[in-house]
Amino acid sequence: MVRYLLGRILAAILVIWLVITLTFFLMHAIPGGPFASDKILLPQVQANINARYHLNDPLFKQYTDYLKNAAHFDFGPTFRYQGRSVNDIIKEGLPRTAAIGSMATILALICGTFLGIIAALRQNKTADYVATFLATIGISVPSFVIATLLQYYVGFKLHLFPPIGWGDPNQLVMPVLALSAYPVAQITRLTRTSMLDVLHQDYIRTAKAKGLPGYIIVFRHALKNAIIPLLTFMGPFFAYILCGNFVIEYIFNIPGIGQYFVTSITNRDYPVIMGTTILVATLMVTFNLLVDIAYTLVDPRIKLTDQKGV
Amino acid sequence: MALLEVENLSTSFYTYAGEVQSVSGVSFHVDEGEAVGIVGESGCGKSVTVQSIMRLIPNPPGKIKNGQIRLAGRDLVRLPEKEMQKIRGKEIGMIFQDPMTSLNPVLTIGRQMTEVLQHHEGIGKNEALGRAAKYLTMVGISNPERRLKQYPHEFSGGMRQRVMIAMALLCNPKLLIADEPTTALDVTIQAQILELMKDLKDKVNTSIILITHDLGVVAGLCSRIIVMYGGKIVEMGSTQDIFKDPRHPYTWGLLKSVPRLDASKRSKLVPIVGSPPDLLNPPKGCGFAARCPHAMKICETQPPAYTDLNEKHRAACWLLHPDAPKVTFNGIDEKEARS
Repeated sequence: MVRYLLGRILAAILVIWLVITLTFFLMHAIPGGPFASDKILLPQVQANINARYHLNDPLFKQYTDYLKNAAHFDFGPTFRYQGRSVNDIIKEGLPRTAAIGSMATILALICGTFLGIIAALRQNKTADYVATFLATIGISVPSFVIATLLQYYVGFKLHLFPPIGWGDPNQLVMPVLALSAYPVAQITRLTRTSMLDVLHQDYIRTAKAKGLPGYIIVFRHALKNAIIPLLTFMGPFFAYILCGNFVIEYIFNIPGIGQYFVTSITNRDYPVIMGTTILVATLMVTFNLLVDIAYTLVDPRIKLTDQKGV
Repeated sequence: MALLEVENLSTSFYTYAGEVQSVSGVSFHVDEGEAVGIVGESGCGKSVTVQSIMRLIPNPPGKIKNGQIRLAGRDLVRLPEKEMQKIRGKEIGMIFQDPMTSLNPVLTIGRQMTEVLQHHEGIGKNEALGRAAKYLTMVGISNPERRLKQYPHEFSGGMRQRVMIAMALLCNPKLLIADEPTTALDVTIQAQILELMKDLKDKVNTSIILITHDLGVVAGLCSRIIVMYGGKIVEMGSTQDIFKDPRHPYTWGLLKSVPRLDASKRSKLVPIVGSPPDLLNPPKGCGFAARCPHAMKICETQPPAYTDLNEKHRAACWLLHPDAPKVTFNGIDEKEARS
């Protein structure tokens, strides 16, 4: 187990290095630069800036310098926001984004599995149709539409919650709702399918033949089997949610990290591009590892070893 | 005394194509301490019959349409679900066909066994584990304490079926239903499991209903045999009667299709030609008429009534009518078997 985990962590570092390398060279291949704008700078000023940020160095030297710094978790200064480093941006934005993200995750897990179980148990009955209908809406209506509708009706018309802003717990409600709509829908669908499959298995019939009451059959015998396929989906999905949703943060005016993913590219803010990309890659690798560990907790047939085969 | 009485049981499945009459008008009984075999080919209603007894028919689409199932006098068909849960696992234990899929892969054997006891008898975990270990030993699983902590995938097929048997017997049920318990196992393991069941039958004094499509399996264990065809009982009688004096052409067919060690090498197995009736549109007359080599005109138009041949032995066939031509079972050709 320990050997396996060490192997996985080494592999993760390799993956992140590959991501850094690819992103670095692709980013520099985009025409334009961080200080290109419609204001024409004096050549001397341009040269000074380039020298200040080592943009005149050969590309490969810039790359090795970046790797060296990144190894010490120094991701450099931002080009756009004077006097702030990439680390500052992540430190400031990520907790806010992660707060909304993790709340949406928990909400999605609870509501999604609940709706999914109900739908499976009441297959082809009203409750199933309602849950499936909600899930279809959640999947097909984009989050910005849901966010805007919430903002207009719940925030502006009914005054239940403040429509925008950050800082007050009340201001969390609508972004979390809007952000969780899609994962709730997906988890509902997956849980339903998975539960239906499990409920027709022979071991459920055995459990019934043992005279166990319905709730024990559903929660002890069926659910544990049904969440195995769900785990696969959840890992990468929650890595994405935690890194923020640009649209939701933009609509609700939340100073999270989401906006930097998009603006850094148009700004050619090289260190921010790199920093955010590494953040996503790291979360993704971590969550996949967590999912693999979670498998072994749920399914005793899965053992983590570094041997091929059984 | 009869422990279980099934009277005029009919179970149907309602599909888009229409009503499939899987079991229609089945009546039989099982005495205390008796082992009864139900034989017949796939789709003849054996499993549906016992699943009706357990009320495990998935509804919808299935439904017990008619009849009574009395366990020690109580009618199970009209029992509320809550009461039925107290019968399942406690008064009737059940073993299924495929031990590879009948145990929950993510729960330990101990958990799956003790939950029966905890639920039905309300005893504590340690006491339940102790009883489970005792029963595992009884079905021939050594090192039970360690085995209880293991998961199903750590057991072989035969071992899993032993676990299933132990689990079904935990609450000392009055009736044990075994739905093709050996079909999914290879021959040597089959023999072991049958030996075990024979052994346990005397030890725990429970009645047994054994379902199989293998006549050899029932012969060794059961004192009475019920032959089902097309959702109906076509013949039933003591094991002696069924093997030595079978009266229904379908039973003849079944007996002829059993491979025999003492048959000559050149003799071929005799299959029953044709396929079982479509229970979506059951035939008006005898279900077997279309495949019966002795079918008469009346067989196609009117269902045969039961003819009692002795106290236990009865068959539903027009050939047993006083006016019918005399046709007898010539058995496996004795001359051929000897040569």
